[in-house]
Amino acid sequence: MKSTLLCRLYPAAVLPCLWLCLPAMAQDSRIAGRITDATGAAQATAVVTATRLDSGSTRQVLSNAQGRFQLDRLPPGDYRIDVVKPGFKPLSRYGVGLSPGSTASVELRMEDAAVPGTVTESLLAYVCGLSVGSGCETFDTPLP
Amino acid sequence: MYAASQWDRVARRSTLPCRDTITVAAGCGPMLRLPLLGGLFALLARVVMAASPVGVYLEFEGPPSQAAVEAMQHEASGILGRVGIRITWRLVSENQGNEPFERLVVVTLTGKCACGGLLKPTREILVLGTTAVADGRVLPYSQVRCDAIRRLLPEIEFASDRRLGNAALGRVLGRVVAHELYHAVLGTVHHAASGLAKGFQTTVELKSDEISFEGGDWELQPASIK
Repeated sequence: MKSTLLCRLYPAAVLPCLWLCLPAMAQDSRIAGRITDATGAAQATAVVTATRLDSGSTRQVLSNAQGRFQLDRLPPGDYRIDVVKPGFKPLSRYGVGLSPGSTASVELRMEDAAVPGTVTESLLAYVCGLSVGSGCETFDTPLP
Repeated sequence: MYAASQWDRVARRSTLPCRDTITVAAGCGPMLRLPLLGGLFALLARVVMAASPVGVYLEFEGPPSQAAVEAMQHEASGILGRVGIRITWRLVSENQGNEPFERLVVVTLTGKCACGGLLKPTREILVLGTTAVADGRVLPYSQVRCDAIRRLLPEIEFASDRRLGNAALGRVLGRVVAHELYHAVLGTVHHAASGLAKGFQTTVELKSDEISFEGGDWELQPASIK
């Protein structure tokens, strides 16, 4: 009795599972590449963004020590690749097309920023007693 | 009624011991088993491979205190979790270049991220963290200065119990990291008038029992990382 019911339910479970399989197979496209500087040296820790142009959905990945990156399981479509890293000009590559199951290979050479990137947006902290009267505390350790 | 009773029966079946269930399933034949197992694997793969909302890659100048790092991650995850941001922590040194995220941020921790270096305390205004901006655009690169935090908090730096000192250091580090992630994830140079999005914090605020972002600070967050 138990066997009969579960066996009847089994086919009902197969169809949703197949439905789940299909997009996974259809998304098996990828973008792989390497980031270098103007001298051809590999650039690690560059943030690579792949933006699917029709939906605007994005995926980011960080280049490894050899400057390589790979984004798997991307839906087919047209993509823009953006790369940023402090000290370099932002780089964009348009028209990276992915057909189902394909791999797009991109070599991206970054140029030094003419003006080094400014660094702002600091979180500053100050010790009470300088300009705040309330909530201050006294250090046990004498301050210089 | 029929559907309900069917589901009741199914629910009762689901309480069967595992062995029974497996035996019954095995009796249904390979033609049905294989697609089902394939589907389950595909579902699992999709869950595992799906991009996590925000990946934070940590890079340390020197070997940090493990207790400080754990406390930092716990604090930052808690603060950001309250505004709906889920963090996946990674190390730059272990990056293979193939893990996707909806957003990712590289956080470099400079100096020594462990108490006990006996740094001289200071009353100066110190920069505790920064996020890179180039051509008016916020880049996903932040820096947190461990030495500056240690100089501002001598009771942590000189803690007699090193483990507790490192945990306290980590908690403050987590707050500074959360502040910088606010800039890096939202891509904003804006500072709020109060809360953790404020540009200036007192040492008392940094050490308070709880500090968090204000209600509207994260209103602009992209839907994809909510």
